[in-house]
Amino acid sequence: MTKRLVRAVALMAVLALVLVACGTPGGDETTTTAAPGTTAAPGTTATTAVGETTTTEAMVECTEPIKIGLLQPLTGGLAASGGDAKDGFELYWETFGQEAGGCEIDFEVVDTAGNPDTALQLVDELVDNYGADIIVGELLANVTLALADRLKDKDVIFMSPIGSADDLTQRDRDLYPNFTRAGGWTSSQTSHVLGQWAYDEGYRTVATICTDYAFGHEMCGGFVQTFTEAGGTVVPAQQLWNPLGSTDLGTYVTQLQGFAPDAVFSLQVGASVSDFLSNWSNFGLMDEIPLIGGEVLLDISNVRNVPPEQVLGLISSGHWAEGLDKPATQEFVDAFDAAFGRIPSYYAAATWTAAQYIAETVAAMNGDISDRFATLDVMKGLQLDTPFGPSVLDDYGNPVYDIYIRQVVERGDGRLWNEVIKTYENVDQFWPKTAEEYLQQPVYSRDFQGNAGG
Amino acid sequence: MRLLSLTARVKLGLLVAAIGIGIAAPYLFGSFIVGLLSLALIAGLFAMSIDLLAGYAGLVTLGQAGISATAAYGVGYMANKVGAGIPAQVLVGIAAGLVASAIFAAMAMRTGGVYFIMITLAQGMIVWGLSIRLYKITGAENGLTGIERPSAISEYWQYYYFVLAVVLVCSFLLFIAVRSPFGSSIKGIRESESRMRMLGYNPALQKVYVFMVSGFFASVAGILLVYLNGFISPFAAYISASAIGVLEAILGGIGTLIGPMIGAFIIVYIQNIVSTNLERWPTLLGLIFIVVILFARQGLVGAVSTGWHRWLERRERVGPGDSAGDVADRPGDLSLESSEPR
Amino acid sequence: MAELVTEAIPREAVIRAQQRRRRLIYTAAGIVAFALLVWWILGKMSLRSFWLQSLNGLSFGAVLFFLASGFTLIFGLMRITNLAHGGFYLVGGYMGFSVMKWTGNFALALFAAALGITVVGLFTERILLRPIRGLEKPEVLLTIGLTFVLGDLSLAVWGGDPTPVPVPGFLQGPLRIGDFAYPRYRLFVLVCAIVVAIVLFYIERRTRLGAIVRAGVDDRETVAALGINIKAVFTGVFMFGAFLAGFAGVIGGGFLTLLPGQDFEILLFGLVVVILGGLGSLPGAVLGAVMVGLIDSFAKALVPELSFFTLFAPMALVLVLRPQGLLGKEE
Repeated sequence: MTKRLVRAVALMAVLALVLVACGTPGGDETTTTAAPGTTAAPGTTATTAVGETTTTEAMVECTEPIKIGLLQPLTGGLAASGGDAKDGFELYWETFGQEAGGCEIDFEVVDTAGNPDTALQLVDELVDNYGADIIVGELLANVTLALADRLKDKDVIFMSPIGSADDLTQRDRDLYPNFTRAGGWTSSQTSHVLGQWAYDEGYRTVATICTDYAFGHEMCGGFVQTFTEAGGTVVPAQQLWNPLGSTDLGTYVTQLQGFAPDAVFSLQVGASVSDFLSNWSNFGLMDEIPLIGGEVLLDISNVRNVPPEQVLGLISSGHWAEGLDKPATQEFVDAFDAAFGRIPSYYAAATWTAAQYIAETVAAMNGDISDRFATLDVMKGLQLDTPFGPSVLDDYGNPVYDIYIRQVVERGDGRLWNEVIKTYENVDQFWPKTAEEYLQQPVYSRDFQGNAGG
Repeated sequence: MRLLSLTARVKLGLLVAAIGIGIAAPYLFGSFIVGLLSLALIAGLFAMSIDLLAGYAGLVTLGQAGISATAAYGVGYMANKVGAGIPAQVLVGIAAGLVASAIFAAMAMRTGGVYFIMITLAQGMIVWGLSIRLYKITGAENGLTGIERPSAISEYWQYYYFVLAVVLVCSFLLFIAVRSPFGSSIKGIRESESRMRMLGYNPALQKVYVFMVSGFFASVAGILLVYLNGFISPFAAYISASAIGVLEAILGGIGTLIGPMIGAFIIVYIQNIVSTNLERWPTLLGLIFIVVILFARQGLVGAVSTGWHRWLERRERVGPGDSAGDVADRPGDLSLESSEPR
Repeated sequence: MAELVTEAIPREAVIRAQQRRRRLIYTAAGIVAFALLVWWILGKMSLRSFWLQSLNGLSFGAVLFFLASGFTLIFGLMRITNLAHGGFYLVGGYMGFSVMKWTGNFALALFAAALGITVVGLFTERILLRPIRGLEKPEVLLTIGLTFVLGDLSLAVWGGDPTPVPVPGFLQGPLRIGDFAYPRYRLFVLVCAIVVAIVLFYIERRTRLGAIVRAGVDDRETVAALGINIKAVFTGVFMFGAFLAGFAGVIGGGFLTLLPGQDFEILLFGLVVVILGGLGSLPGAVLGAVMVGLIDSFAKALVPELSFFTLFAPMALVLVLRPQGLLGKEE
């Protein structure tokens, strides 16, 4: 037994030495995959500035399509929202054709199941195997952070129209140079205006209940900061946080009642939305205390199955409002409704807008996006009319939007949607402060909510 | 004089071939496949740690992911929140995994059979719940990022070789462990606790030992994974991770050690490659689970092994040197229950 | 003289007396600890909040009771640990949702969905579990595989949207007594659970069927020898357990939104209930459900960070001190 074993081990050792002598495998491959979007023609033109037509320069011909990888949770607890995101993205290309700037657009949609590990495996496949130029994804902030980390050294553009972890376009901006949030938002961007609005409406004390993770912390923090800086008070100072995925929110509703505030601000996601809303109604608070929601609380994808009396009339703020009376918005809503039989949520609008950004940018680059950073610069210079309204990217890669105060109403055909009752124009991620002021403070968290009362 | 039986020679040959392919893999495949191979090896180690408990001690655990996630969080916490160096990270990771194993073992040692399954299920889910709640330590849903490998193994293929080496060493250690006196006493506990008690063993204590040994290897797997992804989040402790580990072990063959590794390769293949084409792949996993339990409880390796032995018996009309050595290699069977109710 | 007396006392009686004494001590200790806990809680919240949270906990516990009772019955008689019970809950809830959407009749939704799950249970017991009857571990693992399938198929059929089961108008909104308001639906669930518990106890203790089941738990060969079709009893009990789980899904879905992944989460709660209360014991299911419901509710209110841990601690204590559960039978 021993002699054979020794012989086997020796053989393997020799094999190993031979392989090492032949050179390391990683060294043979270039660490950056060649960008497939480039054309074969050697005389490729440099990027053209936006708006310039290139009549004199040769029209660039793509030999390979531009490849996009879209990662979303299509199974699991977020499947509804992820499905909306996928549908919105696909609908854009179906409507306008899968080509831009003379290049064919090819994309692949993969299912992360809401699992960050799966997402990391899949993004490797998309970048190394499929050869994606652009990665679009994902939904959850934690998965988005993991992806941003993984992709920061790779030759791709990473867009996140949904995952809204604030710091990716704020304090950690420089860590992720190939990241842009075109079509996206920061969590606190929409709640800043809501805090101001609440104070202007006359509310002086507000109790908050938000989901206990980064998204909830950031959205609540945005509200708390502007509300308290305007002069309001948050009661109790020890805010309420419910765990992500909570199944029974009756306990929290009971506590909120005990605080007797002028109004309650809440941000919930997924199943907790209908849980919260039904408890809010059933404990009789719908008639007692005004409820103000963070954008996702009253997003269509979360309230589709909720009895109307539990949501009608509720106010929230958002960059998306299905009832926004602008052509870009209504065309999108009608197209989506015709294709899928339901009113689109912000998830669908976000990926549609991301697709729009991609198409416009590729066109502006004449199909050559091999220089990723030049491409990102061009993307920043675009001014688009998206379903969200007008959109421009700030210096940090985050959009500047009109933010709307919305109210849930019943539209003509009996279905519910959010209509705009007030617009705050040109709100960037730092509103109402300047970037320098805002970045002095830490990112919103459990411990820092920007409470001016201390 | 033949020192090894035919079976042993075939096994050794297959093993050498597999290792050879393993070493050559980065030259044959691109980064995506090699990354998957790393993942499959880690999953295999994880499944083998489950097999140690299930196949040899007769204790099926549905909470192994809780232990490997705890170890991973140990590493993640030291890397992300404390900023410690790699040796400290690994040390804390292993320690965390062992502490979790000890606590779980202490809770479960007075039970067996289905009680054990249920309790380990609850334990694993509790790790999941705690990792969501204790945001100061675990970063809650966001998880912990920024877990970096030392530069010597930072490239995907370098890390692959590292994983391959570690997994081979661990497999070898497991192999020795089950053939050692310790392994025999564990098997004895499975067969009959009362008999072992008469021989002077303390079955509860033995269970704790084997749980901790198994937990050690699960911790190693968890740590290898966290360095592969650079990331840990609560999902790693969810029941599906534990259940899939058990599926890998059963699919490959409980009680064989090599079976779980093979099962892991198959399941990783389904999860990552089949899933891009088949939207209902979780149903496929569930169906495989059901079919294997109903029709092939010995798993793939068990079925192949049984077929092989039958072929041998037909081929050779005795030859004491061969058959004797072969019979001793019969794999374990999931349905082997101890005669005691617990 | 003394040695003669000591030898004359049978050993068994001594042991039983010791056990009884130990049980008395533990129960007394438990009651004292409980009283202290209540006193501490009252120091932290108003009396009104206390009642509200208690009701919250009890109504959640009611759903858990429906789930746990079926689970514990199946285990008690057949020694099958049906981990697909969570899957039964979820699919049952979704079915109830669909029936409500089609007919608007809540009673119909409750029973139709429960019957639907009963059929699933029949299929599971006869086709999937029969071939491996008696092999405890394969049975458990098979039910896990079944949960994967049920969960994914329900995703395919009903989608991933959060799905609350619509409840009839007269059960919506709060019941007001003075300035005390509490959701009618949760009270309804609580009342249902009490009724069902009483019915189950009655069947178990006072009817022939219950006697057969109890006898089957203790000694199935003898029951078979008495000419009773024990196999039919098994199937029947399994189907009834599934019925309860499906029922739990619909009634729970009225205030706990249905969602993919809830199968395993509700199963976890159910497991803690039966581990605390004791597998195979109906009173144990009641006690466990009440305990888990109340702990969950008060922990969320008082120590939300530790709310998972507060479930863990009693379970750990029970496992170490009394592994068969508080009201389970000594093995």
